[in-house]
Amino acid sequence: MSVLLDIDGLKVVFESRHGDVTAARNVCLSIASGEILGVVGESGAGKSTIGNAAMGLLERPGKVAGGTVTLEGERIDGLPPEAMRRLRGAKISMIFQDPLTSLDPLRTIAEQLVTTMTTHLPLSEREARKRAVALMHEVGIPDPEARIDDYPHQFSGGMRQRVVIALALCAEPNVIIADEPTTALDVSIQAQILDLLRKLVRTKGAGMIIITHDMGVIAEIADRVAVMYRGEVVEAGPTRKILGDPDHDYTKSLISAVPRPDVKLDRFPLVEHIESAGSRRSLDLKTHWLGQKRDYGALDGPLLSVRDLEMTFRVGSMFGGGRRSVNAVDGVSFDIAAGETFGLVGESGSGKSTIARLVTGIYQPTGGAIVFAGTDLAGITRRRELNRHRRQMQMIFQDPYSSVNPRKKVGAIVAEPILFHKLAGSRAEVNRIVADLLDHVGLGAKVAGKYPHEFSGGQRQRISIARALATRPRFLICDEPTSALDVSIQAQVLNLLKDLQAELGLTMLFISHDLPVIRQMCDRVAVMRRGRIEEIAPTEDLFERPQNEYTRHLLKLMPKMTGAAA
Amino acid sequence: MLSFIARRLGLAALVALTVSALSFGLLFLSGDPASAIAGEGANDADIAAIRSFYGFDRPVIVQYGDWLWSALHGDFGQSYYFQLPVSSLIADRLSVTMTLGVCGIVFALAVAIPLGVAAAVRPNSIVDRLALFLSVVGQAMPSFWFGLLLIVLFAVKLGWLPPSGTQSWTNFVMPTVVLGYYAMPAIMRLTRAGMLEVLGADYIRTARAKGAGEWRVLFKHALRNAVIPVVSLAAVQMGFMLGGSIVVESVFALHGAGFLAWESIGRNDLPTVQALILIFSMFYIVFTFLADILNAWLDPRMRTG
Repeated sequence: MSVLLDIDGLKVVFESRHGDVTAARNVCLSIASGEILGVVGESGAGKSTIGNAAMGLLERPGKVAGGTVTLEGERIDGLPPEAMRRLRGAKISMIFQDPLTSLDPLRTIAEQLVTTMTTHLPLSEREARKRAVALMHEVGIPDPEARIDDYPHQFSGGMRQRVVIALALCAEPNVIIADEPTTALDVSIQAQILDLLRKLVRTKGAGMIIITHDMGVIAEIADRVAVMYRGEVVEAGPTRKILGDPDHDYTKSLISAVPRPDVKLDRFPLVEHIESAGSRRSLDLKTHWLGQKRDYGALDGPLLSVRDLEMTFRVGSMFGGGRRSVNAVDGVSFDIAAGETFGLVGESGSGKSTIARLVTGIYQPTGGAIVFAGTDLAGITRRRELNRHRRQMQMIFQDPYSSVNPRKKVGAIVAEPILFHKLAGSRAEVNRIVADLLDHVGLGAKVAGKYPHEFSGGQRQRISIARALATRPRFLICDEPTSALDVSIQAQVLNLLKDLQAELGLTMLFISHDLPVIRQMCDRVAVMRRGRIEEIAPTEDLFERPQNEYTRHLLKLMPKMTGAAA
Repeated sequence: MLSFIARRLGLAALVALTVSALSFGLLFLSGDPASAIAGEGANDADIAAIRSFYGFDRPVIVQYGDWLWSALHGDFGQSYYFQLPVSSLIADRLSVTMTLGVCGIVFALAVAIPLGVAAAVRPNSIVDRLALFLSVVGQAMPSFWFGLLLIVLFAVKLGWLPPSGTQSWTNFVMPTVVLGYYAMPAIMRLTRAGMLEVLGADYIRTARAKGAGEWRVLFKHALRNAVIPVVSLAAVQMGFMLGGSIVVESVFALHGAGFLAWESIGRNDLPTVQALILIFSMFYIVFTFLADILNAWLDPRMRTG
């Protein structure tokens, strides 16, 4: 095995007015042919910077400030742009994270593949087209002759990622850098893509660097791993050794924070080395605002009961043809008992989020009943009447970056639901409650005067949680609350949710595509597929003794990272 | 693609029909048209005679159908003021306005798009600042003032270009620049903003990663994506130029359709105003339709919509 790419002592800095920021220092990596090297770390660790630096694609003001990059025996750092351009795609190429945005929407697949081949290889258009068809076949796109003239939007996400891979392979490079190649995909698609990548590397004798935050992906595919933390490789070695018996403290705690699929723990182990959240004080519900005026009558039976829920979307234009119906939710029934955490799990498009929107009243269902605390919400048309019930249920959204208004101060964001539902008598009281809530989610009262952009993703999710708590809800809907977060931050946020639930006696509908997270968080789980529920069972039963075929299929695809080091 | 065109065409026809009804209704907006034509001090017999001469005594729907049918055949009736067929009156003026409008938009696009691209490639550079300066000036300076400045310099001082009239192509140089410069800033800013956004897109990074040259990245991938909203804007501005270039037409004494509209409103010459409104609206409808088709050609995702 010959060394294809060797990165030695690489240092990358981003120049700024306030001095240089070092994004990577003293990074040494190498890959041989037929080998897959995993680079793992959390956001901001400098993983992608390394990939971009090797490709000569660092965006200004980033630049390589030291070290060497050697490709097949020749130094390529510091090459003039034109020489570097000729290498890109031909000798070293890249696969990107988001297949939905990585392809030019206005060009057919044929155009994109053929021009890349004719740029780098001495081929005529016809020869290139023939090879493009063969390549599409190789990456598993069915019926390539017919589909090669389609546009990217005519392909599904998984198929588009195959096109992106074909694009990276089409000029036969020896080194492929895959930057989070499966992060945007469903688990079943992820398994297929990883399979494909492994096969391609083995058969073509190429070398691959796979950059990811996901330990499961590393366990699945990498031969060797380099763990990055704050711009440095803290530990590197064979995958089995790093995942099974890591030496470095950071690696140990990182692995322990990965939600375990195999056994339910009371709390998530926290990662050292990361941003510290202020400690939370426990509170006395009898005297605390959050405990007061919880004017909910006694309840027998479930808190939420969903019966034969249906939601049909009409798609297509108002004029002419192309109009059809999509059954996003198709006859779904489930009950959630007070104090319970009920999980909804499924792949994208299975209707999970639609259910959340129906329950909160963002959508009006086209059929069925949503009985909340004894009242059918689907039957209520008067807004004021609905708001009275809505106050009791709040939602926490997936993307902490876009679900808080960037122009408002944190204090105002948290205060809004209190003002809207008129839960406080005076401005001073509102401010006191807001301060208390922010303190309670571990941010501290002082942050009320700051803007959301001053916070990290995990902190913003705490802001969302404070906002959700501001109406003193009894029911919390969490729609993928941590899927945009790093594992260490995820562990903190999920622990916070668990604590709050225990303290306030909250009932939760917890939506996630992530089975290990579901196992750690939920009491009962419903598995969804194409708008229908395939199976409902207590969490442990579902994981240990799945009854349904599709459930078994999903569980089989679940990453095998068990966090043995913990 | 064909069904897309058919659908858009149907929609355009619907809009055109609505507009024609509205502009026909204009006739009755200012009260009884017959007494308006007869003028003050006319007796009832005169008004009745005028009413039956122009057919105002027939049911409105019949009048509308009749008017529309004639309009479709290019007959917009007689101008009250000139006592000439409106169609021949307009045809004359329209050729001036259309020449000016087409030259104006071509000039605007030819300046704005390259400038917008250059500004976006190097944001905050000298080129970007210069483009910003030019567009602020273009937006701030009234076109009659800019027109007068040009006349003073090129017609009076240097004597290179004629100050007014429509005798030769040289007469159109200064009006084109004035009209085009007025439309340029918005197109330039939209091109720049679009390019900046597109250049940050993932597929541009993909293009670079597969070794595409900078030229190819900029023009084959980025510009085509960025220009889509510009097409819609240019269509609206084109319609605006054809209908609303009254100021420029006055400054350069070009007797175009905009000028005629302005005059006819003052003279209460309703058939002429009606016809002009209808024609100006048709321009908007046609350009919007063409822009939709062009966008659908540029962007495959729109073809289904």
